[in-house]
Amino acid sequence: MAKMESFMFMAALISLGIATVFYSWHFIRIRKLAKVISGGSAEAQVEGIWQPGKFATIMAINGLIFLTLSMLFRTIVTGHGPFTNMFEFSQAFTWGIVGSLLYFQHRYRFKAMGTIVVPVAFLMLLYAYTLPTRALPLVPALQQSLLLTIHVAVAIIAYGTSVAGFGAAGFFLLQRRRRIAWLPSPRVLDDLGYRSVIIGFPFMTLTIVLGALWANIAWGRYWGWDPKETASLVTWLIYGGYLHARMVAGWRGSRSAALLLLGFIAVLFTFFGNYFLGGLHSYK
Amino acid sequence: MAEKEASPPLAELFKPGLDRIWHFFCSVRLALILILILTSLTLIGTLIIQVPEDIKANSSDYQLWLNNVARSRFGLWTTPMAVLGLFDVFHSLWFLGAGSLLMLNIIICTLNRWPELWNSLKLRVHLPDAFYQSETNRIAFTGLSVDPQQAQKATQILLRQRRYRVLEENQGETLYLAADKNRYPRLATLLVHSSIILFILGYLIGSYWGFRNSNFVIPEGSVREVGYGNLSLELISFTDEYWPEGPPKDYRSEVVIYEGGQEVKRGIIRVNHPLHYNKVSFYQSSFGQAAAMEVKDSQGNVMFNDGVALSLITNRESLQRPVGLFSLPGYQVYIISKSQSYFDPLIEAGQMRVEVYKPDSIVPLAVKHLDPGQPAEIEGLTYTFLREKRFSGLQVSRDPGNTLIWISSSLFTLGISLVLLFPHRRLWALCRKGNGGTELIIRSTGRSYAVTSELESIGADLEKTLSAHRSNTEIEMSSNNGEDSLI
Repeated sequence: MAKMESFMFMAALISLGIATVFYSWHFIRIRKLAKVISGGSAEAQVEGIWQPGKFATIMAINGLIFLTLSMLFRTIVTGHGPFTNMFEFSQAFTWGIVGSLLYFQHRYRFKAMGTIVVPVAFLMLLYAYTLPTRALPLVPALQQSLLLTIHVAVAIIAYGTSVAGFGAAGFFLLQRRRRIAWLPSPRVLDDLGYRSVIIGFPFMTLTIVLGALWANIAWGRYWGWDPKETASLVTWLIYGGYLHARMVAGWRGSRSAALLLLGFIAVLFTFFGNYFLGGLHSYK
Repeated sequence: MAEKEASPPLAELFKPGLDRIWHFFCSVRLALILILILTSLTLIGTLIIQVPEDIKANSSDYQLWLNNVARSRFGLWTTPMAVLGLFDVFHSLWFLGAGSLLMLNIIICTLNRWPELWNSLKLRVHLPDAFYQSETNRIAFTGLSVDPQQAQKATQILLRQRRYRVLEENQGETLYLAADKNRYPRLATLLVHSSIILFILGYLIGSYWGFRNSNFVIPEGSVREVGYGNLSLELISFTDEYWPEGPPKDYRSEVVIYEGGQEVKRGIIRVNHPLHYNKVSFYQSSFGQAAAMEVKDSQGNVMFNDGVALSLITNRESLQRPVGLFSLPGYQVYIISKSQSYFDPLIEAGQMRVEVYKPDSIVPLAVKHLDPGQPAEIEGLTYTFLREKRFSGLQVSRDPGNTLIWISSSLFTLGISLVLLFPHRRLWALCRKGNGGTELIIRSTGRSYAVTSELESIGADLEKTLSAHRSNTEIEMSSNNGEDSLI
């Protein structure tokens, strides 16, 4: 089982590596084709021609399947959700990124999105690869199977969608500088970014609430300004600010996109925070 | 008299000022600025080392902490940083001030938006013609061969299929429709914001009326007063277990709780498994070395016989050693054990070093190294280190705000999901006889892309339905693409 797990992990890493290359190829290709076609409105223009984008998507789907299997085998081996050390967190985070990419890519028919998002997933998994993979038995605080599983699973969805939002914001800002006909319109990109927050924000809230619930059981207080707690609160406040700026103050476009970039940085900070800030969340 | 007439009533005089304050507090910009300030403060609190709560509570401990811990990192900056409250950001004036302002801001914003919110729930069917002349969010069919009633019926059926609530009103020849969906989830925004207020209230209740001792240290075999009510706790035993691979597996404290000297509860406290008695909760938080000590006077009367938890650390000759203390009439006694590092030139394994001080002195009256069971005389008293023990560090708390915290968190999560996942949508339609056929105009409000695409898709569906009856229909779609306005 352990062998199967590491085999699946490597397969996922390779799939995402290939996907990264092919997404970039897809991006360059539609860029060239769009110049030839000229005035084309979207990727739909290049439908029918052999697309690296299709292959890249298949590779991303493969990556997701292999990651799922890898995590499944690990769960069988260790007997608990694969969410207990930095290696497992990184692997799960990658799963969240690829999952939300595929969801938004499908929903918005926007393959080029992977050009920004998949490299992030690939780097995250590459980072996991450098970490010690050995699963040590659980320290007393983590011996709460139910909360451990839900708390982290919910966090994965929240942070995965934030990377998708980052992709949308990245393309939006690219569009802003020079209107690119073959990318989705700024309005669609803006909406995609918003939708990522619509899905992500409730999950982010739930992550914090469940974390507080668990902290109250294990550490005797629901909030203790632990670095990871604090960083997650900052992230939550940024996305809360984004929603208000949008819904009440009517922020759209570049300013919204800038907040999404900030949110993405905050998510990374939260994710790696326990590593360089220490605190109760540092399970190495 | 003339002067009096000219001067406005007092209320009028203050009104602009009050208005200004009101507007200041209900601006979203203020909310964003406050969130930004809180975010930066939180970041500072994460990056700069923060003083532990129990040290902050004692001013001399705090000075010691500033000199020993903070000064080694920040040098000359220590004092200004301490004055600015940067070592205790989450209790600083800045943080509490910005937090209170944000709370006020949320309350006033919510109140301010209430009428608008309430009005948006009431669906007015008949709107003036000017409303239908909009440049944006409008679809118009002209020259339809069906009569207005049929066009209205078709629109109504289509909207009902899309789960809209549809109201109709006919003004002579002109037929009006109004439709909406998810109007109640919209009210959840109130739920969301009031739950934040409730949360903060729960937090305040907890900090004012709650009880917390985050470092309740108790040696095996000892009884200690909890410091809340009439409760005391006895630690029967402490056990730590390890996995074969090395990491800890379990920490267990077997305890008895007494109320007014009567045993009221007996149980085991483990990490993730606190013990509750009468709303007071006991959590496993740390453990360490303890010593069973006995002190007798010259007549052989027992003056002290209890466990001493070596829960503090001394730092001498760059060696850290566990230390515990107890007092006797006229004396302070320190018990120090071997450093946990590999080699200790001063204290042997299994020994306890006893240092006896006058309460206000920093020079020990006597120092002795005791082996287990071997009595030693210091200042006319006989000290015996009976045997080594363990102590357990518990966290004791009673938080009356907790219930409110969980209720508000649940309400918030529920509310935010309703608001975001079930957006409020409204549409209006007008059907009437025009030149050369029936005219149907549909109009929606809102700036979001989702509103536009919904309207477009309704337009496309209607076109299909009505195309059977079309003679010389013209469709005019002016759904706002607004792409340029974004850039």
